[in-house]
Amino acid sequence: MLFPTFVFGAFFSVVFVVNWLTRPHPTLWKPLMLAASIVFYGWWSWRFVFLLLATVVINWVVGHYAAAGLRESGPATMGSDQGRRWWVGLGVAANLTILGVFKYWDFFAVEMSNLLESFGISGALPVLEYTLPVGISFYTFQAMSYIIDIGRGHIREMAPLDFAVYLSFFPQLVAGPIVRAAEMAPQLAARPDPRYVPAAEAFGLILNGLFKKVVISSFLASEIVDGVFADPSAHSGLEVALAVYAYAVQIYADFSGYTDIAIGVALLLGFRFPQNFDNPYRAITLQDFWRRWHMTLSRWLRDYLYVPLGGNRRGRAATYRNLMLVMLLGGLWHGSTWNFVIWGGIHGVVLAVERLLREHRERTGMSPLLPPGIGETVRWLVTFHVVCLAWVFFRSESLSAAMEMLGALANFGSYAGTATPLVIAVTFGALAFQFMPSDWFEQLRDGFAGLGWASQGAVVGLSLVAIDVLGPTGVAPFIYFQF
Amino acid sequence: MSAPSAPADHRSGPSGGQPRLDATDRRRGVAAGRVLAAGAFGLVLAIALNAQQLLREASQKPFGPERDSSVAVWAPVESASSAVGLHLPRLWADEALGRTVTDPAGTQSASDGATAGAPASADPDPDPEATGGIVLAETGADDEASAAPTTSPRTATAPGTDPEPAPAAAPTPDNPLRLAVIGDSMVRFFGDTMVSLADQTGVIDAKTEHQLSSGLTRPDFYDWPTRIVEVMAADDPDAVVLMYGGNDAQALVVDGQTARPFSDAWVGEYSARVGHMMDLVTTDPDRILIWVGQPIMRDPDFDRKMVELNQIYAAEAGARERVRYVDTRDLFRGPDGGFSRYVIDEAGQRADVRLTDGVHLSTIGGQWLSQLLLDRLGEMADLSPSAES
Repeated sequence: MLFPTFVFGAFFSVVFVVNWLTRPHPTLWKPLMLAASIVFYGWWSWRFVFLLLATVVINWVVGHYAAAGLRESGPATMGSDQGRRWWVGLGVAANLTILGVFKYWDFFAVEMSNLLESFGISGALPVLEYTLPVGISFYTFQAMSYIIDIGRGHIREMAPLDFAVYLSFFPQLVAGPIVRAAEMAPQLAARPDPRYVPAAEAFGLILNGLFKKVVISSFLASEIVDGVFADPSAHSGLEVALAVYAYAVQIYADFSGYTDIAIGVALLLGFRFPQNFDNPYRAITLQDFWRRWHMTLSRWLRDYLYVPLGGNRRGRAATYRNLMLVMLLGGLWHGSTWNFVIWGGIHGVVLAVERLLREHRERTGMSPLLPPGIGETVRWLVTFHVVCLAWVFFRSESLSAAMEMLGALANFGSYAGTATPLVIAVTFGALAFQFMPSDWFEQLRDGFAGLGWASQGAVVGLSLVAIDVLGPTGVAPFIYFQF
Repeated sequence: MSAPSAPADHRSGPSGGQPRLDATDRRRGVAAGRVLAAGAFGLVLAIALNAQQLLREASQKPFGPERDSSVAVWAPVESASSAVGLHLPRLWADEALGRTVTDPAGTQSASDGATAGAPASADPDPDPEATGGIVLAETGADDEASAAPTTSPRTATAPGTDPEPAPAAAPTPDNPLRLAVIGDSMVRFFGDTMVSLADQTGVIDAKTEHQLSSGLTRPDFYDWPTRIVEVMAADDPDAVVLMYGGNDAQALVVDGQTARPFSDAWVGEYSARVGHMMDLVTTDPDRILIWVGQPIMRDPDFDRKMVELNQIYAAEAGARERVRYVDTRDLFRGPDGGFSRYVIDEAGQRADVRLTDGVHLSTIGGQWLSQLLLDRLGEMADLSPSAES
């Protein structure tokens, strides 16, 4: 079920009413919310509902035994701490196995078979060709955070139904944000007051997200990005550069648009999710970028990968190794292609270089080469273009296609007419919007909150129609659904 | 890496703390009933203002119970909305943006999907020229182009036995062969690649155009016969590549009756529409047409339907001198002879030729198909780069 559809509007209207009527009665509310999430997820493919439910069961059982530490069989003979680690390891392995089977095995099998074939060794590894379940990367990461946090003693075991509601909660199920159990469990236990629903903020987020997805993202995709990436050689270098900038805007509008809608929908149900974006193209370093882009993934990678690997506590070489490893795996999280690995590699290398320069500057007491204002502008330009360079690999379907795209930047002829004034205005306007004062949304929200319910409804209705008019017919899936 | 600490996109929110509804939310919050009233009013208003579009989208669904129930829901809403003029703001907005319901929109771009057709009816509503029980779709084409074939596709000449089309005059860089690559979403995934490969020959000037979710069964969604006449008139291509079918295994209307897919009536009507498209392209006796068959598909039921469509395409092409049907099933067979995303290439390596949907082509698959089609085109016309005028 896609957010920007009438079907979802009808579905959510029912869920909203049921939610607030039954919320005071958890024994009724929890199964109903779980059922709603199953309907939402099953709308794509009912078969994968079983995978989701299996993930719920496996992780709850593992979390249960990890919490207990000792049981009568298996690790019963081990000490409490050892048993807990054993169960956590088992849970992580189970989740990685699920991810591996559906997402990574074919990539590995094909690459390995081709490598062997190039050495004259035949006997290809079998490929599975499973359809990738929507949202699998998101909910398996949430599940892993649950059992790791239990193993670390950071959270308590959740009741089975609570855990099922948490892992399958439909607003964040298919494309995040990656909400941790520590953030969700207290909210599941609480009974929010139905007299205080933060509606102005929620409606604002939902409408903003719809506008970003349906209008901005779709417009740039159809007007320049898809065409130029499909055949860069038929376009001038300036068009190719504009298409790369436009893709930077498109993927931000698409992903942050989904997040806005997810957070808004959750707010209407009485839940507050962590934020996922903070004007990422304002970043003046790549480290700064990762504080602002897909924030729930970056903190997951930090807490469950970078820190356990040793973080920056085991010397300079280990720190750089850890940075590279985290970013390479972060790239692989998006998909099993070499392009995603390169995308992560670019980020890892530049993060390491940034750190190297910073440490050198701190060690030598070197003062900045450029005055503060100019220096920040240069750093912003460099950061933004590194991010854009990496996006070329992220968007291209193959390594050769990415190289063709980069080569076409030097194309001085064949202007194909895609750099229309509107495309230029939308691309650079959206980038400029990242530098707007951060209180614009609060001002709009407060203005909306001051309206009567009928006026609020009129604003919502007219906004929905305006978005529908400005956007294309039909809704393309969100980019991050494929991850 | 370090903890996200800056305020997020829209809310000076819970960074670092537990993201829970807090005292601020209580201060700003309103009662759930009021939220429901505002939201419901907003949805009702949006529906009332947008009723024509909702009915249009409902009517463009595949014929069947889901479409019928959707139309039954939206038709009275649209009537009420139109009766009081609530449809006008949307109409004005569409007109201001250059979109009208009669504009075959979406021809400009891949996903600009504004659609053609009367909003109140999904029936193709053809102005039929009954030919042996076959009703042709209204095309808007000239009389000659609209002439209906009467050849039964099941008795037409088998593919490969038709007379070879006469080679076109050798193109040169100054006088290139004009090629149009047109079709549904399949073309989206190889059209640009084919244009690029064609450009590399130095003697082909290629263009591509596609419309997502389109085909020949639902001219109310997208009227390809009308569009193809426009393209032929505007660009006068020397060669045309057409590919349809992925969206066509659905019911269509024959003589006002809905015909089930692959029933006799359906096959007769669909064959006539395919033949009609071929005739519209080849009205110019110097123009050649390549009709691309559907590749092998992952879903066995869907694949079976595509096989039946391919038989129709092959039969109709076989009955026409300047039309060549190109089978693509063998090109994309996996190692075991069935569907596979990964097909062994000439170097013995596995190539990822299909998208994960089991239908469309990947970039590599698009390159393979494009090369096959250019090879076939080369058999029909001299594409030697050294050709001089």
